Amino acid sequence: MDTVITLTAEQTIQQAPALQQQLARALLQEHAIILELSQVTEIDCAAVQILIWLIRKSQQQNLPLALRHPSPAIRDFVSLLGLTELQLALGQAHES
Amino acid sequence: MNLEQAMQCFLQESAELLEEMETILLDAEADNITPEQLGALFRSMHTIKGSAGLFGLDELVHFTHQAENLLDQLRDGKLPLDARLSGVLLCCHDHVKAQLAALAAGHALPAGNGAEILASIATLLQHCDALPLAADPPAACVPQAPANSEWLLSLRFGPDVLRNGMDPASFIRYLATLGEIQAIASCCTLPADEGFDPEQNYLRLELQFCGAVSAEQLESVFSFASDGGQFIISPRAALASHLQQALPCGDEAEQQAVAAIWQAWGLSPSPTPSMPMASSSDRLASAPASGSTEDSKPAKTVESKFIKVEASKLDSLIDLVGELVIAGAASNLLARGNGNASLLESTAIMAGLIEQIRSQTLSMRMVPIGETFSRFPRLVRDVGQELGKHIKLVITGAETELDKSMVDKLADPLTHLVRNAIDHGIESAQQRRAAGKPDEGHVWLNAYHESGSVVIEVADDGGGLDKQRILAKARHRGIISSDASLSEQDIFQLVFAPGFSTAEQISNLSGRGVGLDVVRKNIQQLRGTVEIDSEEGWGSTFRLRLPLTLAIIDGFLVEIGSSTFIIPLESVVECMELPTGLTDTAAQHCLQLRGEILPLLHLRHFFDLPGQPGRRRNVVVVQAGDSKAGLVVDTLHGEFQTVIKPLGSLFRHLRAISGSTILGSGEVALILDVPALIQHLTQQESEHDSLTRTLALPLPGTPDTLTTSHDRHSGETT
Repeated sequence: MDTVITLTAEQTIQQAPALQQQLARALLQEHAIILELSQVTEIDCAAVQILIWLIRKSQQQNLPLALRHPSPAIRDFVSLLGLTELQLALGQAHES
Repeated sequence: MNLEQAMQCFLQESAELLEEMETILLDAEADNITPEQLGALFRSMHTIKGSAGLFGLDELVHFTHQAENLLDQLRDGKLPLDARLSGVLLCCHDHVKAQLAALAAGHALPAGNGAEILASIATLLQHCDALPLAADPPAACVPQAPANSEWLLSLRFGPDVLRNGMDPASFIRYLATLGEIQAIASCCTLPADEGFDPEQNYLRLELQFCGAVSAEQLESVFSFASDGGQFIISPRAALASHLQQALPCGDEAEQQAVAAIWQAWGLSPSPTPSMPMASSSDRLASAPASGSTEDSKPAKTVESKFIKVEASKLDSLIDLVGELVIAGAASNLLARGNGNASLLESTAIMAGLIEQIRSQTLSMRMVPIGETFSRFPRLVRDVGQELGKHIKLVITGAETELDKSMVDKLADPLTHLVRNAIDHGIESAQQRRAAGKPDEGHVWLNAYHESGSVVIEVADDGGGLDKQRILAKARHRGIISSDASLSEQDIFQLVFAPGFSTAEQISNLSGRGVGLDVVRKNIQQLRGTVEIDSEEGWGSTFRLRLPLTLAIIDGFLVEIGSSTFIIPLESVVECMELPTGLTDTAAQHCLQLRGEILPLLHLRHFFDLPGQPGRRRNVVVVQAGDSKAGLVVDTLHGEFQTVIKPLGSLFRHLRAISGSTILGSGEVALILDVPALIQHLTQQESEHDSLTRTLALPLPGTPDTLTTSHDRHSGETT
């Protein structure tokens, strides 16, 4: 069973601790993780860091990770800051 | 730096920018505006917009953006700076200022007339689009801002930047408004173990940026986030030194990631020794190599000549110095009683030092009056336009220093006096022409120091005060009796009576703000006086005389029986022994002093103090404004540094006492309010005068009655 997590509209430092805990629990279950990103309308550096953290963690644990349907807000943010690592992960998600 | 402090910074900076903007706009009306001024105008709105964006003040950003567009057109020469445009820009200034004031006070941002202003901006912008570009003045073709230059930025935000409510992305967004971000790459150095903290910042950004900005401007972009952060900013030409600084920062993983970024951009870290001169000079401009956080903005710390200190800290320091003065006086007294010569010497040295500390501390509170004056060009312009009068304001002595607390309280009275001068003082152009004066009216604001006090003058070249009209009005209102004969000064002082207004002069501006009686009350609360000089047809001068400071005065110590009083030294003119042979029955005497009549006030009698006067008594001649009086006391003790302690509210109604202080011995001494005492004397005298005159009327043939009305003869016998 894949773990599907849908992120809510606002992903900022306010939600960051809760999001990180949720993802950490998901990582413990050792299933593939699917992150649904279409709802996100607001994102900041704190949330972006967690996504990068998730990407690296899942790679370490050899868990498949899919970042699905990144919203324009996320795409804009990622290209604004030149977050290549995340851009690549999103690009894969787009193709899949 | 937390968000609150950042907000304070923003408010402070914006206030300064707005002030600059206003000054330029007002100057520009008089003269042709220079390209530098246009650039400064544009930057003021632009910087406020950028900073407001950081705080998510969307409304303000929207508004300032429109204002900025307008200024952009102005800068490009597509719009002329005429009265209409400058009016709109001043409205913009007011609106932003009001919004910021609301923000500072923690209120919701007022909508105000923002929509209206935006509408007029829109019309102006449309108008300018329709204008043919050929109308460009040549000056507009000269670029104002520095030419586009390329920069390299390595931004290491502090670990707490997110927690402090700042998002590095906002800085990048703002940076994007200043120019073009040619390349950007982030590296995210996460802890290898489980210690990931979702609220900590792990991002580091590397940028290539191109824009018409200076190194200072770029550095100031990140000054809000300077806490714990490190920002290396260098011109593109100084690539080698930039990489030399930027690459070794952080741990190994970070170094590798950053090196990879720069390599991917084709900017290799290999040294380029071909231009040693450029790299050395650029190092000066850029932030220093891998330093602590304090080093990250050296330009700012070197530049600033001022330290901002909270006003309350200064107040408590002054309080303490006041206590020190009292304690110093106490030890001095003890030493004197002790008679130990070396102890006396050391207390004398200490007293000297305390005196220096006192004056130094007080001087810290001194600010130039110019701060207050600077608001008047705008006021004069607005009021002048409203009344259709052409007014020129001349400010002199703006550098005169005055206690900060007083400067704040002076703003209202001065505003009223200036408004008065324009409204009532200066006549209409026709009247001026008829009187042979230039159409343009003049208002002068002048400040200077004079013997321990500060004098501020508000003068105009208008019609002057109409003495007859004032007298008639005062009689009509019953302020003075119909047959009272008043000196010129007394007549002028009538305009300060509550509710006094020479009705014929009323305009739509009267009734705004404070009345002249409130002006005088405000000034008196500052232990100051107001004098008027006026010449009919040529103008009038309102002269405010204020003490330099409110906290500590030089006092003159006198004794009556067992009570000690302090007379402010600045009002003491001279001292002399009371001539013997004067009768003591009446409360009031007069003394002839070098041909002048000096009314005397027996303080023992006045304050109803117990005990009999000694054989030898003294007269302290005091002066307030133009009137003099003699205060009769028992003993003189000489100068004394007096720390003024306000009297409790219970004693607020007391008129002859302005405060109290504590002597070295621990006793309390009351400080005499000299102007109030003199006023009491004159009042008593005039009552006495009119009383005796009415008594004398039925007996015109007896000159004795008249002469006994005063004890002047007894005074003249000395």
